[in-house]
Amino acid sequence: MLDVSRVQKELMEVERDKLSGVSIQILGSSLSHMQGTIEGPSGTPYEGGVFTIDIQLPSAYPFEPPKMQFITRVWHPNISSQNGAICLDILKDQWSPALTLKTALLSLQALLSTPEPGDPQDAVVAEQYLKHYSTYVSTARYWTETFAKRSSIGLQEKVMKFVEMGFSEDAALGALQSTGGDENAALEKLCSG
Amino acid sequence: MGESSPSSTHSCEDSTISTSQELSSEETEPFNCSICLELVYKPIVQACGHIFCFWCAYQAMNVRKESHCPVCRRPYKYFPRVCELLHFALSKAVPEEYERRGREVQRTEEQKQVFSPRLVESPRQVWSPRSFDEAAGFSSLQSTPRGVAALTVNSSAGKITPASVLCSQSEDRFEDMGCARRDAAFMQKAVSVDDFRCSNCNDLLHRPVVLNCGEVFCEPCLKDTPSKVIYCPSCKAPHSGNSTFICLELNQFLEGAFPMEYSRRKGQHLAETIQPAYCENEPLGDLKAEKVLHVGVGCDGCGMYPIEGFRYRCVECTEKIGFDLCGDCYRRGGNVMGRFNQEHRPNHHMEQIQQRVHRPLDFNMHNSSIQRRRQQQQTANDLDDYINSFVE
Repeated sequence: MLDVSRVQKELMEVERDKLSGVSIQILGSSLSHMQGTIEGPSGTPYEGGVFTIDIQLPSAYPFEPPKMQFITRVWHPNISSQNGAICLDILKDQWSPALTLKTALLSLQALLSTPEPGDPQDAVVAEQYLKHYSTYVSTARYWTETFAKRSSIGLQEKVMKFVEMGFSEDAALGALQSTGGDENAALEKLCSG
Repeated sequence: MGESSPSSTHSCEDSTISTSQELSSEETEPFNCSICLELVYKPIVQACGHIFCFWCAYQAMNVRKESHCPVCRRPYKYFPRVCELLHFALSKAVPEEYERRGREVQRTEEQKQVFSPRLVESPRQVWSPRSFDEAAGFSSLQSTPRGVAALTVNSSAGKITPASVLCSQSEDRFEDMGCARRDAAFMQKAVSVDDFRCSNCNDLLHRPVVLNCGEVFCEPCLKDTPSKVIYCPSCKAPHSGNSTFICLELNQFLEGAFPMEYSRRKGQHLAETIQPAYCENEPLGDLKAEKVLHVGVGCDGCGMYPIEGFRYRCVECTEKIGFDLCGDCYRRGGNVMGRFNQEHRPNHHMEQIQQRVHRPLDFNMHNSSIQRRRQQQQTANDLDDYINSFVE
């Protein structure tokens, strides 16, 4: 049985803290599935990007770690470039019930700024990081520009994408405006409402 | 109970990335449990001095091996008893919120049919060997709980009984207040020095240390422990861990609540150099040799969890959680109070539990290598015999 009151308290804390650059949205009616976003740390190839992370809470949470996976594609030695799987100890055996979703997301942000190629999740990226560092930096930056920039395509273009999916222009525009231009969140909103 | 299964294994399990070593809680409210993020209920103070709720601490323990403090990751093996001093102090300092927490916890306990210990305000003396008559006297006292423990929930209906209507009214009032933040200054007004006396010197606690038995002492009061193992000066229960850590949260609270008294105590102890009590040996004997592991079962005497070595189970206690002792506590005898709500009596019959030895993987390998070596030895011996037969 999921500790609902603890998760609610965590979400309130994330809501209160505007400075950390971390946010969490609930997906669906239960609290077991949500989506978090972090900002790419400055001074890294991920700067300026906004990364979306899928969060699944097991029923034994917080005594078991949350399952986290990048939805936004990232070029990073410890994150799979294929499916976004994350290799981070605190999401596995080093999890502690005193950690929260917010601290876990902040740890992911820290992971972006300090890759550990010695313990890779994505061997290809790790090899590139070790052997051709400058290529790694430019690839990571290119991926950030392509996949993690909210403003990478204009609002009108996004609306057109939704119109092609069969939503009305007004509804698509409204959804996008209310979610701050986040396509995934807007789609979620359109599908639920 | 003890559902906390080991975390999922992964190919890159041995990752050394520790981006979040500091597990500091951002909550500034005093006496918040960093696991449920609520006011601690039936506080458990770990040997490292960190405070958790009884059930949070229990669930956070590893059923198979040594556990680690969720906040500082210090390893520990013994589940402490509830710190009654803190329990009664909190029920006085923030009565409404504490009662609300009590009702929440009781509701969950009713659902799971496993209960935390019932706490009765003094006279309280646990663990010390006593005659059965005295124990019986204690039980009659226990059957009339007062204070927080008096809250009753109708188990069949799952609702609060009319007897506690007063409480439900206060709950409504509390909910009206919304999520008002707990204020240290407010809490400090409701308590007095009498609520925070050291069990040894009977003065205000200074640098409080909570032992495994749940009793609280000034750190200097524990300094003169003659043996290597720290034993509680009043109930003689052994403390887990080989050094004492002060409970910083309680210390901070005391300093804020009674500044005059606290500085007086500080002055008293200043003359003596404060050195933490320290011992080199693991307390509670040599269980290292017997590696039988009783997964998910803890000792009600010393709190070892899981029990290693001999295990005895009471065959007369009917509570779901059961009553178990480790070999040492069984041999020590006396009246041992359960760590939950068990009604265990010293005359109850206990039975040794035989359990298949749980061997970790490397242990198996070690075993097979021993076997291999034995086989080699055997062939060598055979060869010697063979040669000897020729020599003769």
